[in-house]
Amino acid sequence: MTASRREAQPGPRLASAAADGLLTDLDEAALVEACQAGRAGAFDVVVERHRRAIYLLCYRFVGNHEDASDLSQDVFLRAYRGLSTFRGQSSLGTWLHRIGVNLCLTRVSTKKPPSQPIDAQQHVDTRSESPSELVLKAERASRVREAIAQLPRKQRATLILRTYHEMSHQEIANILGSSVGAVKANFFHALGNLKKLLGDEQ
Amino acid sequence: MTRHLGPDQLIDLAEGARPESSEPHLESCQACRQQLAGMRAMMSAASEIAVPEPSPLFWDHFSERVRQAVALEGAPHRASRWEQWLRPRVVLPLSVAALGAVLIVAVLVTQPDVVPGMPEVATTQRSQDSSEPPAFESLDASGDASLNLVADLTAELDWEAASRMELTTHAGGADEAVRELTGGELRELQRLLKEELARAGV
Repeated sequence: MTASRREAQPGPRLASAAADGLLTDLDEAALVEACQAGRAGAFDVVVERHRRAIYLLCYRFVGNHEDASDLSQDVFLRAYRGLSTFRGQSSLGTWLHRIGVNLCLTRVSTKKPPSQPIDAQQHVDTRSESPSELVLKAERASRVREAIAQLPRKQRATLILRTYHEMSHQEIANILGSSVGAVKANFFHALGNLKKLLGDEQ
Repeated sequence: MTRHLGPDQLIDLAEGARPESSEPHLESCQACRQQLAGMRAMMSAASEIAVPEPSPLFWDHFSERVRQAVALEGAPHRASRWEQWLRPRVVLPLSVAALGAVLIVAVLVTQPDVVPGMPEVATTQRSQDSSEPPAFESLDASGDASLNLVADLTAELDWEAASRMELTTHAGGADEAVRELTGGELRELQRLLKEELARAGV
């Protein structure tokens, strides 16, 4: 997720695309420049490109739609406020994930995420499973989710980014401001603690 | 003396980054095999937890919410040339120095708890020379009420405003710093917070 960003002078791509109003065609660097220049609609494109990933990240931390939605909105608002300080040393996605992880870790530190209702599992293909199997599966998922919520912060963040966002150790290190070695150690301890919390049931 | 696999090696094996045949020790060590199997089971259990996909209508609604929130913010703050020059040369070094001073004080205060030459948390680079595979960190590092108080207080701060006033280096910096503290430093922070809370009659 690394990307360099052009500095200072808008490139020809920005100039032409901006003139044509084709914000959606801009690459990331040009889009950031358009945002920093205050071009109307540029930040909308940033939101559109990253909203799903940020929402899913927040959902993993809070476990419900309403809080995930509010947190995601807050992530983008903070990103908007901080855009002037974005220097392109990491990709925009990594930067947004970093804001999201910090926000989620701060907000959910004292809250136990509510269990997800069984009827929220709309994404699961249930055609081949009996009702009792579905109930068992939902209960097991709920226990795993609660166990993940009890993990220490960095372990939880590492597990979420690695397991659900399929990020490399280096990308996670960039987001958490740590090293690849520390990321692997956190993931190792996260898995061990998850096993402890779930006992013999898995 | 048995030379068990370290967290780094176990993570690489569990994720399939390296084949089991690359670690001959695994064949002869049941403890490491069991640990590896446990880690894989937890990775599998965690990966089964899916997030319900929001309705397609949600995304338009979400973007509109962000757009309205951004509109209330006004134009993004653009750092002046003076601010851009000043920040990396003066503000960041001073902030880092201040954070370093706090950490040094914390380390000095907690020094008696640490045995020289014995790191509190195992690194990922070395293999284990003991008769047991690597142990996991405890889970109680973030459960203290006084630390949660810090998280609550920092959650309500406007970090961007603080950053603009050059009171901090970046959003989430304080809670990041707290998360980077070692167990001994956290215990000392807890003790100081409890003293302050008791003095204030909270």
